[in-house]
Amino acid sequence: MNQTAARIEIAPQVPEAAVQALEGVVDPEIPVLTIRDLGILRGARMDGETLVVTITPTYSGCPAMVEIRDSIHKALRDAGIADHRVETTLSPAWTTDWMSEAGREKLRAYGIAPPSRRGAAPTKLAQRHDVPGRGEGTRDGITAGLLSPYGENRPTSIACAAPTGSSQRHDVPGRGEGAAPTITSKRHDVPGRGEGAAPTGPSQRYDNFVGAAPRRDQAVPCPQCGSENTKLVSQFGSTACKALYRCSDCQEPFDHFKCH
Amino acid sequence: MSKAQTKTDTAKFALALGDDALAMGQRLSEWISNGPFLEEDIALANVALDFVGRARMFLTYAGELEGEGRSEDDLAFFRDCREFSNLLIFELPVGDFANTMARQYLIDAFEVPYFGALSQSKDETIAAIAAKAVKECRYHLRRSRDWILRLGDGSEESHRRVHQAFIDVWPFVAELFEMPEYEARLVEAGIAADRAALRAGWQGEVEATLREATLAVPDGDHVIRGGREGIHTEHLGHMLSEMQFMQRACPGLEW
Repeated sequence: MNQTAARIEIAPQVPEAAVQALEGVVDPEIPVLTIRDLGILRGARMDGETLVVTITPTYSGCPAMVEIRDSIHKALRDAGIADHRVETTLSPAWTTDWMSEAGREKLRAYGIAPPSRRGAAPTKLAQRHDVPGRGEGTRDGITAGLLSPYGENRPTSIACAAPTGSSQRHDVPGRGEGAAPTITSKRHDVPGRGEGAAPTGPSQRYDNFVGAAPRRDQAVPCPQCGSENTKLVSQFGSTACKALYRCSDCQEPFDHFKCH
Repeated sequence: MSKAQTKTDTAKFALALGDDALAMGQRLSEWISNGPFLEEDIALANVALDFVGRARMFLTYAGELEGEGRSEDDLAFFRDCREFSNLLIFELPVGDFANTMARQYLIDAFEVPYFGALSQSKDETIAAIAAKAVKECRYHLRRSRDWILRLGDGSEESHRRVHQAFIDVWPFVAELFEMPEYEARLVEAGIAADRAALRAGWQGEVEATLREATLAVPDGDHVIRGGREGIHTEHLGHMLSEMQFMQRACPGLEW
């Protein structure tokens, strides 16, 4: 099921040369992917004689947008389509779900673990909302209609979230094996603090709050050797859209295109 | 309420949210090349970028609504302290790493439910910006919360510092839940989200996290406020002098 194809709207009046030119525009930071693969390209239509191309940013501050815009101008000019403009749309918000299958495969081949696809919400996890003591205080008042306080996107983002340090701390036996700057290892390595103090409740409560509880069956497989025995090194990698992982089997570090 | 009134109110609201994000993005970017280790340096820069991106969207929209032809850059670089309407908590100096993460955590814990609520705004642009922001805020909160646990339940030194950091920032949190009149009107109109309604949930989250981090929840009723009215701490002027210098010296300069 390729949602990307369904969501990009290319009007029938748009000349074939323009479509081809647009499909050739690549992301400046991950040049194996086109903006169509990434879901950044949202559509193209004709406004009279003018071709209007619509794109959407991945992250709010994505610095590549300027360059992507320039690349589109260049590609269209090279294709002889001088009369055009590029518009940016924010809604609906970009999601890695729009990344095409082909795009995922290209990412993997490039050495970047692709984002996992969001599946249907597992009922059991969806009930996390009901953990006692969470969120009740925010459901009253005028925001009640507006607000789905800790629930928005929960089912999907649960299926999608990268493992965080805090979950490993509670889930993994023999935790904090001393790997350098992973999120949680340090606190357990520091002598004289914390041992025996780890309560079991709050982490789940917190995951609930964030609406993105990690699932242990959502391992990020190593793009080099395929092993699922991998570790999160940092939640932010070389760009905003990537996290840094290391494979515990082949020992290679790698980028993971975060689920977003 | 008249349409014109709503538009004026919405412009102020967008400006205020833009100023919040801009001050935070600028503060976080002060860590670039000064982070405690490489991965953290990159993480801080990435979070800063999310805030700057959010600021650009809100300020651009504020300029459009205002209708006087001011761009995001005009608003960011050519206003003085009294014209900035960010909440004070966003302009506080980064301090040490514990100060930075304590502030970050308290703000992230607020912003996740806040932008979740705001993504339902009847104003389409605000809803769209909020819907993008909330996805990033969730990621910010995962990280800042982990750091609070790590610092609080880490070494004696880290515990002492982060404990003090929460005490230092505490007088500034009340402002997160307060609204000037124009914002209250926008809540009525379904455009803004009710900040006060988020207090209880936020408090619960923060108390549970601090408890897990072996930290005491600061108490005390001392509240410092004034940001939305343009009454700022002495720190904002210094921040602006650095942030705005280049555009003031060479107006319109582009990279």
